Amino acid sequence: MLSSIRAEYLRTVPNNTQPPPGYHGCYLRIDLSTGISQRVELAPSILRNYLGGSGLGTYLLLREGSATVDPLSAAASMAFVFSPLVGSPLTTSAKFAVVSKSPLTNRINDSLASSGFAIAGKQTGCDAIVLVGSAARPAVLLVDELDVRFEPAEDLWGLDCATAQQRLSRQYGSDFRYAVIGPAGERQVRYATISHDGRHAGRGGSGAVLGAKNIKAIGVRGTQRCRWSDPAALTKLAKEISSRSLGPATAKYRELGTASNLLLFNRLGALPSRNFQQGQFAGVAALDPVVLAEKGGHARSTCVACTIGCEHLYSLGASSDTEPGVRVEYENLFALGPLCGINDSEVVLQASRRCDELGVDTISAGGTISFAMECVERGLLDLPWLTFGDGAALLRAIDLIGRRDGAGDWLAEGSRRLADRLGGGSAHFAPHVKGLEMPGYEPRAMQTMALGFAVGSRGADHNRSGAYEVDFSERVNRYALTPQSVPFAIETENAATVMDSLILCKFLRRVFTDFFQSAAEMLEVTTGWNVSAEELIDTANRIVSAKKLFNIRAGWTPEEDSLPNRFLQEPQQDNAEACLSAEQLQNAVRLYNELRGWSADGWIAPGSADKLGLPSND
Amino acid sequence: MAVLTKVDVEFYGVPRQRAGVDRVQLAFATSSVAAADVMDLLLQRFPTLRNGCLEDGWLHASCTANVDGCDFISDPATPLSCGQTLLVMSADAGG
Repeated sequence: MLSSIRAEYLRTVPNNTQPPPGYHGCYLRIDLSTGISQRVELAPSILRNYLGGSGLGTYLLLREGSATVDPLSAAASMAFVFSPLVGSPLTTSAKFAVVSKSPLTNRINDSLASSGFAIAGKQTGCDAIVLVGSAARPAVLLVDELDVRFEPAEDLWGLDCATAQQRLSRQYGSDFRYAVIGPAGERQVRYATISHDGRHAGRGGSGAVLGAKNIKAIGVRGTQRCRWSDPAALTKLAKEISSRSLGPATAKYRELGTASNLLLFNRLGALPSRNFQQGQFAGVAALDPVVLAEKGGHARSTCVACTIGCEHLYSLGASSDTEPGVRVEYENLFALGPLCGINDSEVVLQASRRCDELGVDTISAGGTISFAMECVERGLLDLPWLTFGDGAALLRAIDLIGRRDGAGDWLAEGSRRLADRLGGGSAHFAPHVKGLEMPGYEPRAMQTMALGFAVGSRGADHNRSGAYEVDFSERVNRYALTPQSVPFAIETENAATVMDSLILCKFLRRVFTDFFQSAAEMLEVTTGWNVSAEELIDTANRIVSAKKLFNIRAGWTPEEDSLPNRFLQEPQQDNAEACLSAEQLQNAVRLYNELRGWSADGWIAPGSADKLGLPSND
Repeated sequence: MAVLTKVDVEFYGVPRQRAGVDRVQLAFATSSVAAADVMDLLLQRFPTLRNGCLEDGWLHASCTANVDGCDFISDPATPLSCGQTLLVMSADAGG
């Protein structure tokens, strides 16, 4: 059994360096192969240009030359990135980003989550933790400020996420905060998650990247606190925003949760069902969260340092009182319900719980399984038990995926690779963009969102593009993607980019009348920078371009910025008005590229790396 | 009252919570009805909608409306015909 190993520590940050308020001015780089850790300086200009979270993580990945390597190899790097607002009294700011090249898409991936891990991680005295290399044997990585050590993890290998976290707390102390992988991450399921406090950095397979590095968990703790530029003004601003966050702008999330989207999306014909063949689902009423609450009980919870409290947990009817409820969001409800033709709420809750235990992204799991169900229906896949509407089959498939057992080994690769393997025209209806399975927004019925999906740097994604807000407004005709829609898609992507870099919860959106102005005020009181809303829009453009640069270096081609042919050649079966042509989408993508300052095909001009303050090559 | 126009209203999200019902049919004695007329009558029938859904004769910023599941509207003067359905919902659709 591996005994505890203390990493060698090299100090590279001058002791007299004074970082900007809100920052430590360095990141911790840990080479898992050699055991050497270093604190590497981050210049104030880099911090101002990339802020933190997703933006700073993209910068760090480019600096590490990660774009051209296999994301599951030892050469790959991954970054756990904090932000200038972490540790402040600003509501929803206890967030961190996990940034790596995705094993699912082979493009940039940033998955965000909220938990005490963000606060404890920043208190180690760094703005990010970058992992490179690979541990020789399964290990737990403990970062205790300057003390970095590896503990053996053979006894934890195979444990589900929650059990592993409980065991770690008993073994090393609950003052460490842990990010762990489940069995899916260990087996490098390409859409494995990283779990912490029951929440997940969910999309794109960051759990597989950590598993490939033989790291079961990272524990962080420390006592280093950042100073704030204007503590009194920060406290005042935080109180104001918290007060507004308790009002009508967030009432839906607080009182009902995102699951309440289900009935509305169904009514609007935008609820993807049976692998995106339909936009409405006959059995949807049985999955209404009101019904879930009546059947098994309901409780609310909240992320660390959040005043919104959007978490809604529902109990399984047959569960014991001691079992925690299942966290239900719109996305897991849609993906494991209507998308797979399931209207049994008990099955959907069980499937959600199993995904959380195994550490599997529910959207990609549901998307891949529903795709496989349609392949079975069309005679392209010989798994006769895997049919739409069969709850037992759904649960069986999830277990097989988590173990990479039998057919689960194929399903663990995601819908794009499964389509490549099956052929027979199945790529036509594999529900992904760039390899990332599509979330619960039917793009033919939400065509600004269709553009957001197509151009998304990490693939089909509702967290990096907020264009659904535009589709569900009078600003556009959601059934007609026109040039007028494109600036709206950019505007929502810019806002999401800044939110993901500060980092703030997107459910705060409607609390602000001018988000960029409010974000500038937050940065000013924390960092002391005299930031304008216009500068933050430039920052968003810079970060989006840096992600594009990463993807270009990773092999991106313009053909990737599209949707599967199903969405461009067929109307929705149950809504003839929901029809999008390839020409419409291509025209919108070209305009999007031009408005971003790129070529119409989406290439960044030579020399852009220098302008972005990035290394010019890998 | 001679009923000339009937408009169905469906509630989703917070408005459904506040109204306490999924849907309601409203009857008007006029042949032309504006969306604002519907909101006025809704507020009479469901005063709890004042709590974060309706204010000053129109929707609070956290809510929006849609006609027949197709067009979203923001103009209180939007005309509604007999037999049309107005959807009143929470505006935020984040998942």
